[in-house]
Amino acid sequence: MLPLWLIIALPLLGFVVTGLFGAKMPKPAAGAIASLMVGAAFVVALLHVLGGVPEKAISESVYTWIQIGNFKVDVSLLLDRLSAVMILIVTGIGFLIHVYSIGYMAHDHNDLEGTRYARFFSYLNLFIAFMALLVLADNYLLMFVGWEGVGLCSYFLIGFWFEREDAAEASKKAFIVNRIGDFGFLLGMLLIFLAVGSLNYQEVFAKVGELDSGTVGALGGATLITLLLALGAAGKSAQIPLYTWLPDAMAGPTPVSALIHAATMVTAGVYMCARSSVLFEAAPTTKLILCGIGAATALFAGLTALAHTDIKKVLAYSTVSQLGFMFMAVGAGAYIVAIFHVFTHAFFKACLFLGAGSVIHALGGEQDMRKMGGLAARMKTTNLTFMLSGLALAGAIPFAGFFSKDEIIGSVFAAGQAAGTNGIYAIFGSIGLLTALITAIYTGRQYSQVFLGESRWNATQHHGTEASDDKHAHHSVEPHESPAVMTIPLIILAVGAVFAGFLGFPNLPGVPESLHGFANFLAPVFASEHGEHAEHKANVVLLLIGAIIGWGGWIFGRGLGLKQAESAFWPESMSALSLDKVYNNTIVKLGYALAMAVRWIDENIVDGIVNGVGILVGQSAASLRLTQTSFVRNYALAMAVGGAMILAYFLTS
Amino acid sequence: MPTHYYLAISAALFTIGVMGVLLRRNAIVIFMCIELMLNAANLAFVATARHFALAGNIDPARAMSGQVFVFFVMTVAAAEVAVGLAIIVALFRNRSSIDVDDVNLLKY
Amino acid sequence: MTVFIEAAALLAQLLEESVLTADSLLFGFASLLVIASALMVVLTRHPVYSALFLVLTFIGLSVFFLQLGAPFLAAVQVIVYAGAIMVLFVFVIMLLGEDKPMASEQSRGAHLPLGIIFGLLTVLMLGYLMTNPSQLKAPQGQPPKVHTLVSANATDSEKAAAYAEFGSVRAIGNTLFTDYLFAFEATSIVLLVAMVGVVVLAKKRL
Repeated sequence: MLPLWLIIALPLLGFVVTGLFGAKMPKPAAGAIASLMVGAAFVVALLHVLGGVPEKAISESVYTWIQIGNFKVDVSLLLDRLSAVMILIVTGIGFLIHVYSIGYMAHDHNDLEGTRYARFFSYLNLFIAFMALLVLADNYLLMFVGWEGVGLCSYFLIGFWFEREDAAEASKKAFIVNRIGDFGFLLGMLLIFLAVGSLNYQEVFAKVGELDSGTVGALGGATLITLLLALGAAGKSAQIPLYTWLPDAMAGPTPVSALIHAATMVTAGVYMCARSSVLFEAAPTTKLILCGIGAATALFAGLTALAHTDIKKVLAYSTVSQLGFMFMAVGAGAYIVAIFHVFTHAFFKACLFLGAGSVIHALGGEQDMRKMGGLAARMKTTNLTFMLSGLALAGAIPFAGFFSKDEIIGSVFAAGQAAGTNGIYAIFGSIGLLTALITAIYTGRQYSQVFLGESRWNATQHHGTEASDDKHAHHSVEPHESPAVMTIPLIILAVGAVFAGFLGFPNLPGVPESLHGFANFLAPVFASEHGEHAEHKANVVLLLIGAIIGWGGWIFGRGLGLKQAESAFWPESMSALSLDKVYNNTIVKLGYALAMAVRWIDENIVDGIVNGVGILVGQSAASLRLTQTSFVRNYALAMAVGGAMILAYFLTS
Repeated sequence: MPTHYYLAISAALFTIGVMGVLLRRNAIVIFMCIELMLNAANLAFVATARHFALAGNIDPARAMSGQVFVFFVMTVAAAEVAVGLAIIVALFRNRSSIDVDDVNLLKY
Repeated sequence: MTVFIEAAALLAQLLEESVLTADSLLFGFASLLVIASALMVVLTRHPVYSALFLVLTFIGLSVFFLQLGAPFLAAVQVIVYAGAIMVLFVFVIMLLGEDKPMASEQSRGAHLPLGIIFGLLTVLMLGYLMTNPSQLKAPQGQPPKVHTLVSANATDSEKAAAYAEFGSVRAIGNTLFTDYLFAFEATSIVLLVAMVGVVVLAKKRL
């Protein structure tokens, strides 16, 4: 059996090679090496999974990292079924996006020396390495290393075109907002260690009862810990109130948006919550709060998506909304369903983003949907894959999104019945249904605004990525389909979007077992804590409502897109309804005032003391040097006076 | 004569020497006053040597230390006078004056 | 000088029975001489007169040394101080041509009043310190290992006999060359260094 650390080491090697030598190799070589490394990591993971991931886990310890007193943390990797699913998603979809980027980044007009291409791939590989570490870790601290690492790579990649003001600002914003969440994560880890004495998953989950006893229990016990962990997840997975970085992060290249902000990094929060399912089961209050936050985020982001005309911003808010769905599932205790939605969402959202990138590439950097349209005939593959993935996102039966999304809504309602808090969960479920409708509407609308109707794009647009300048303005190129290196990943992802749903058929009577593969695969991981939740009986009424919403919303939205092709759904002013302004007026201004106050203290008091000492020395020296009169008799007098004083001392002592 | 009479004379001589150093401007006269101070010390040494010899219960050899010390003081005083006067001569060659107030270049 | 001593001795013989002994008369005369000459050293304006008065002071001190039972030192005082050092002084005064009285010996600023005040204070303090009999204590602690002319537990008459030679050349020589041998040798080096230094300092051109 190949060692597990290869999955992390191979992309890391790719990072080093492309980072150090990438500028000296021809462009496609750097991209090929990077993609190869990720592909190899995928193969290793696949071999492990095919070789049989047992119901228990495979654990390998690479080396002992920290050992201080009774605080021991190893670098050891855990491959159980949950991390197997995640690592296949990460490396598989990562590989497809690497291949896509080979074509996408090849025409970066900012890359005058040709060195940026390799840098992009080295950052991508580093990201895959850190994400793999996050997913494969077997203790919280190692997961946190990967957590921070992906945040760092997100900073690098969002700010890839660092000379652009908006990209630089967005990368900083992403990192800082993430850090706020990380603060919660750290505190949660601290409390776990305080209560249990270890950060290893197995040990913590075995001793979950101790979380509510002793000092930690007095502070808040499992509820507090899970709330803090959820804060971390909210930062990483863009929930209210820490989602503001995700729309701005669209300033980075589109493959980055696809990989990091659709398929992998943002799902790290959901993975962490699923991994800590034992802890969350011990804190029902947190689950309720989490479900509420997820619902609110989903609805709010869905509404905001209708107010934007930038193709990537719509997809960004859509991601936030879908993440809200995943958190609703966690809040309902349906961890398997949440992971299933991660799985399907990775396929169709990545495909949507890559498709958007293909459109942008063809139109020479145009991102405004009001200036698109009529591309269906010219970009057949992109059109088809975008439509299929859009249908999946909208939740149209029989595409993937329908199954996962409706499972979520069903489990929210079921959790309400089981927990006795029927009313609240029913409200969340209704919000979920409403959001599903809105999702279908804006997705259909987006599709028709971009691909159907009359062509509103300017004929003088030219090749390039978002960062192209006006050097080729006089080239008038008709938009055409992207090269194969970009369309093949689109096709593969679309296939996934269509068929992946069949792995998680709802639990209806008469459904063959083989269609429950996903749930069966993951059940042992969550088996010990909750028997019934994972396999609740599906509500047929809900499924019917979901099917109607999916197709109905799509068709309605499609019609809207044709009618309102020149504008967004809401007026422009609605897009300004965001937390950014609130944050700016309160926290940012407060922080700025604090910083100015500290600066005043530093300049006047601290520097005052330091300079004051110098001035003091100078002034005392200026007055003391007057004693050097150069007259010998003055000195003799001083000596005589001194001698007299010594005599006086002897007299009196 | 009681010892403290001699010591009083020594004190007076010393003070006169100090006054001379402070109040005179001629470098050589200042030097002479320094010699006066040294001699006052010599007188004190010899007086106390005799005092301790007279006290009786002390080794005469030990009591002689006072006078031997005067011997050394005289020797060193001679050396010092020679060097000091050489310095004054050198100073005179440079400044053409032995007034100590004219040696005032090391001002602040 | 000897005339004075003889006259003093004659006077003492005449006034044997009175309090005024030869000792005290000699002391009074010598002290007057010393103090007066010392004051004149400081006060006179002619540098040469200053030097001559200093010589007189030394001679008075020599009388003191004789009285105090240090005949050798008295002789050395006259020979070395009055005979060599003061000659050197006069020599240098004449060499530099500064034998004329100084035009004005103006004191700088507050020197004169300050000097007088401190002078009075010093003489008072010194006087008190030195004349207070309680201040004169016997030396404490173990005596150093020395050659002794007489052992510690000798009889009084032996002691008197030992002290008969107090202050003599033999006694000084004995102490000097046994206890203070190192200092003696070091002093010779000091003299050598002084000689070389003087030659170097006083050269017109190095």
